[in-house]
Amino acid sequence: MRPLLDEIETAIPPLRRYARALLRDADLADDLVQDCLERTLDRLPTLRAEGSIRAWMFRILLNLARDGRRRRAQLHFLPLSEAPQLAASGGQEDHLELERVHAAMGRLPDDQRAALLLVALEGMSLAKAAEVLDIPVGTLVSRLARARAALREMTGRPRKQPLLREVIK
Amino acid sequence: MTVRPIAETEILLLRDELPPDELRAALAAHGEDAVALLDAWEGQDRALGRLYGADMDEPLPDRYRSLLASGRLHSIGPVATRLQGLRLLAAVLALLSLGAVLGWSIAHPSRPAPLGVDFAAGAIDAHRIFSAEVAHPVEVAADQGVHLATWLTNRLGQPVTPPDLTKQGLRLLGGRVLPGRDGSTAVQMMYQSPQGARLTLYLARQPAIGDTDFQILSSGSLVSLFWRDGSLGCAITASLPVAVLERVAADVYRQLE
Repeated sequence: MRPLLDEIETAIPPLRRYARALLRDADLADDLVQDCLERTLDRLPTLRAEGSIRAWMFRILLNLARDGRRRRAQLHFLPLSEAPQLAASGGQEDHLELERVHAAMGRLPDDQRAALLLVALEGMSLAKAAEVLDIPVGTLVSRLARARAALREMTGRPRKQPLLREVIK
Repeated sequence: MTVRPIAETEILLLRDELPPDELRAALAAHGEDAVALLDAWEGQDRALGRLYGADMDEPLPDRYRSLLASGRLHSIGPVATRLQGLRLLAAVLALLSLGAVLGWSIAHPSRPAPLGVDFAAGAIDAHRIFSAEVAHPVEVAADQGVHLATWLTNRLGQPVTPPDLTKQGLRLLGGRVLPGRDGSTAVQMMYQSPQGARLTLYLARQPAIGDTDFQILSSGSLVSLFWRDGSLGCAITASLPVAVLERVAADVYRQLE
């Protein structure tokens, strides 16, 4: 019992980090993680042991985020957000660059942002991220390719010449 | 020498498999554009890390802590052992940790799922709100006798008679109807000891049918003992010693049969 709850507790900081990057609003993110935690604890007694608790929690979080987005979409509510507080290091130009990335992330379609953050921020393998998103690895890979290309274009550094792109089924 | 162009998706797959230096060497064979792409991606990852890579040592909010604390749910050995004449599964399950219960339920998927923590949390919340009431602890008072039972039965959609707990030193004050957590109807019956301590019995119909082991959830000084009995979820909640709750649970269980 204790190890299960410890595992849940250990997963919370990464979940918060991820939720903040995903929702771009610290308060909304903390509420989302709370809902995720409640649902996790509630379902714990019926948990079928498949994969790690952490992946399971990320999956719950993403499902809740999707439901929440649907509700917000019905209200035509789009959270405007400031760029998160940056570490003091780095010059002005550096700062601008980061703001461009933050703005570009906000314009990515939700599914692309969710996928990219799992891999780039949380450091998940393709297999783990695909499990969390409940999609085939091939779908994840093409989603990531689209996200990274879009991010490059939006941050003003398009590739010099297009590379061959391929859609994996 | 011609270089074979490489698809971005292919680079993504390679990046998942190879260590960074091997990846870089592998991409070099595909020309400088492939390497430039990798540089750009690494730049993206660094930017995302700096933007969103929050402090992992940031303390957890109190509301998370209390959720985690309430999630420290145990099956209860001594209680269930004493009640084993009443409950077929209790003796088996009581000694197992939840981890072991999980293993067991994986092996026996047909066994009814235990009630979630959410159910007991609902009972505890309801107890907290209404047991503090001085003027209106109940909606329908116990002195309305038959009316109370009929009303609770109608609202719950299932025959229910408030158990008589006078042998436990608890006097029935009455009952009320309240929303269950999942939108269902729940009923709460309130009892009081001569010293003024209040105990509530909380019942709500459950979608699944089956009997389960007793479980216990505590929140602050409140303790809730809960179980599934047929299509009813049952919880008794009070700020009383667990030994008292054990006896009450046995009595309630017998009378609800």
